[in-house]
Amino acid sequence: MSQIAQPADATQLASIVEAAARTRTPIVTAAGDSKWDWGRGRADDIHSDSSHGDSIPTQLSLAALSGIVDYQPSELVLVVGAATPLSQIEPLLSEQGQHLAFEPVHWRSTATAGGTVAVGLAGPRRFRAGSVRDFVLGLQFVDGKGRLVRSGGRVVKNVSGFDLWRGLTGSFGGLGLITEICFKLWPRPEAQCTLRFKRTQLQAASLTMLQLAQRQEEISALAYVPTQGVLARLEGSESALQGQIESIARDVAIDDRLSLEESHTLWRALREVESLREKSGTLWRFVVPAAGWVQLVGDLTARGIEDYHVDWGGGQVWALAGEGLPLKGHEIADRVGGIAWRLATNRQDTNAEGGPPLDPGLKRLNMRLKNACDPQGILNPGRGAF
Amino acid sequence: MTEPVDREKQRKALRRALPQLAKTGALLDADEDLVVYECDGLSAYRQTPLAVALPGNTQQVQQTVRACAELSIPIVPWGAGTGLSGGALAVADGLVLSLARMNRILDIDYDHRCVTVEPGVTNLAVSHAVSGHGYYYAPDPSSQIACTVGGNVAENSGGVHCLKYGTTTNNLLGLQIVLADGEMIEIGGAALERAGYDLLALFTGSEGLLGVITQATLRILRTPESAQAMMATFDSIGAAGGAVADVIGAGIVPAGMEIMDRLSIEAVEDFLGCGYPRGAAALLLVEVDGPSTEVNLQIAAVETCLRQAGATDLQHATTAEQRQRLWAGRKAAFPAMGRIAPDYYCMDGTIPRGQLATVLGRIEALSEEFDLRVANVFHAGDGNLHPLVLYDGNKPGDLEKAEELGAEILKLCVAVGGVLSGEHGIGVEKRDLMPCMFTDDDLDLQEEIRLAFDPALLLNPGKVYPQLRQCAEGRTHVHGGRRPFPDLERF
Repeated sequence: MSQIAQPADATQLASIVEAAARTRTPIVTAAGDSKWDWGRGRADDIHSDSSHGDSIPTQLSLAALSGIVDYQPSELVLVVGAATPLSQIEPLLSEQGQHLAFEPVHWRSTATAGGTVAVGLAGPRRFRAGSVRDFVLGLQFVDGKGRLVRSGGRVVKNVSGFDLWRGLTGSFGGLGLITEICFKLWPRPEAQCTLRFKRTQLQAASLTMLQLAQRQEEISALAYVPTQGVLARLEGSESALQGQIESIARDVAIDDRLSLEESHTLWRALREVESLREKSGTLWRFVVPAAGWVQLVGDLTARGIEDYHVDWGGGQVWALAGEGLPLKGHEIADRVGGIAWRLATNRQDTNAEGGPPLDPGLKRLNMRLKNACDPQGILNPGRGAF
Repeated sequence: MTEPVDREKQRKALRRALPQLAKTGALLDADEDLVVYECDGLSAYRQTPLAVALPGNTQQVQQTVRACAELSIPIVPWGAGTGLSGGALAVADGLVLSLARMNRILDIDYDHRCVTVEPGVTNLAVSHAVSGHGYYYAPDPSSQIACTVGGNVAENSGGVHCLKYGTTTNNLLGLQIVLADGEMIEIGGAALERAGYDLLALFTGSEGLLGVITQATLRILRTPESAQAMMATFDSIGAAGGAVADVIGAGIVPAGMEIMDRLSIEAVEDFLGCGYPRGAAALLLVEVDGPSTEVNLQIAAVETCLRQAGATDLQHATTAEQRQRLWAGRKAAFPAMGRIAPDYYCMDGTIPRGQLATVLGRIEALSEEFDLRVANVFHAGDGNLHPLVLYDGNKPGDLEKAEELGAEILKLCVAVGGVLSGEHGIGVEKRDLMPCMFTDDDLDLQEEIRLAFDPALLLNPGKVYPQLRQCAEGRTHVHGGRRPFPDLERF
């Protein structure tokens, strides 16, 4: 086992990377390590030519890069060190009636801001509000040469140089090691209400979802859970929600309304994929054109998969392949014009099918970007889901 | 370059390499045909290109790019040429690649709420195409009647609704791009995420340096059920800025928030007489949209905030007609400057909202120091400041002073935590100010990425990245009277 070093600050991290680049020593980073099962596999494709040989990776804990750097509620801006735990950030924002509108996925309790950005996974509100990268205004990071670099800023409107910070979001630490993040914040809706539409037939559920997705009310999340039906979360002012509900009810029959507590529990459970993760098996995530989810789910159930739920108005499907049920997830996703990720089942899982395959042209382009940011291929090899 | 380029020889070589375009009149190289392409919206910079190609489809774009790569001819992609930073300025030995003929809407998909278009489709045409179904395309740059989607993607264009609805990058689902070597790639589509790195984000706002956009898939939104606006007058800019912070503090994200200062108000009243309060230090416009029950509540909360922040006069617009009247003055702010000064130079920095009073105070001091008036209009929601430096181009030395003052203002924006450009782009205009905002390492990495995509540096050379790495004095200006597209609203 190699020792885990912990750089005290971004400058120290930069010099460690600079030294590692000279010796071509791979660097593996984590802060909260809450999403270790994400983004493993496929990375060997990108640097198949590199000659790391058997060099033992340097493991770095970025945990010291933690803390609130600047929080200005009236600017809707928060600057934090990359290792700042979500459990510290979220209550702080909540006190001011604000939040990270993309609904960060924690996965495990140690989740940090940096991991959230590096993985780039948004929760149910992705349907309306946008993804992680839509709420990142700027980053400071260490590139593969050991340079401490800034990209972006602290303002919403910014056309000054390439949008590297958005490119780094979701790159699993393969283009740079994030040290500081500036988030765009959003007011937390005062109230929420979840409506339920019982639908047992997939086609009927799909139709209801399409209908709801095209409405003017502020539906912030839209899901289908086989045991429950179609679920739509409305958000807004307490006293205005009723008006929105009535307006929907005029066109679509609402079966029931969840209590506030039920609503919070439901969307947290869907965000964290709780019911599927409680069972054993292999977890797959599909992102598909929303109208294609019924066919995808049909393909899954035809292969004996019963545990799944549909989020993002049909755009995201989570499925659990039980033990002994091998799944050609990428093929199934491709059939409806979507992509898939397979989560590693344990830390030794090489997960050859971890991320969606890239066609040759896109792969070359991805390699060019990777090579520009990390010419020695030392940053988090084995991570990055392509 | 040691050897001067033989223009006629290069033109002949292009004609030979692109017979199909040449034959159909889609390759222009007669001087009289090239005049139109000698400048974009930043008319102070002019350069006639070697030739102009007008491909009609992606394949022809690929052929053109390949021919240029072989002949080592630089390429300047061109949408509608409405940009204000010289991002589409031609290079003398280069080809202007106009996407104007690729102007078809290819697909409207209401199930996935997206529209796929060729790059030459205008911004407004997208909203027009879907408005009958109750949809619109959110980014609305002031030039939207003329500017193209391709240009919007290249500049990551915004508009007055950025805070709530984001800029182009937040409303884009897919791209088809022709790379510097002529290879065509497709990224994204109707699904919300894509495989690999987020190249879509990298290409957006890259000002034509990484590839030529040949198709874009845009997210469309339902037109809000209701919209209302409120206009308030304040005794000081600081109080207006405070009101903006209070509105956001109250948990409201307005669709638009605009501040105008005393000089802008005066100019607009002279120009239009639209009923804005003469003599007021600042005017704040707030618009909220969404479901009608929500909008009713929000506008009431906005009113409370504005009153508490010291608003002296309030006007409330509930109908579309009333709203347009409130907005009319704001939208006429740029042309109105022509009434009070022979020329103006429009700046485009973004600052943290809370710095507004400080920055405007400092601009006032600079204005006195340089003995030039500066009018200010401010997208208060997203922090985008447009100081308009008023000068007289016929007065010796005035122009140079305006340029210097402009550069000082942009440096000030960066110094308070802002950026050089909010929506006009860096182009050639602010290229040499980049080192004020970025370190050598920052710029090195960006340029290394550029090289990885375009090793021969043939795509839009001379833009965005400075030739000399020092925080240069500005030497940029717009001669108000000679601006192309005088009919375009600019705000």
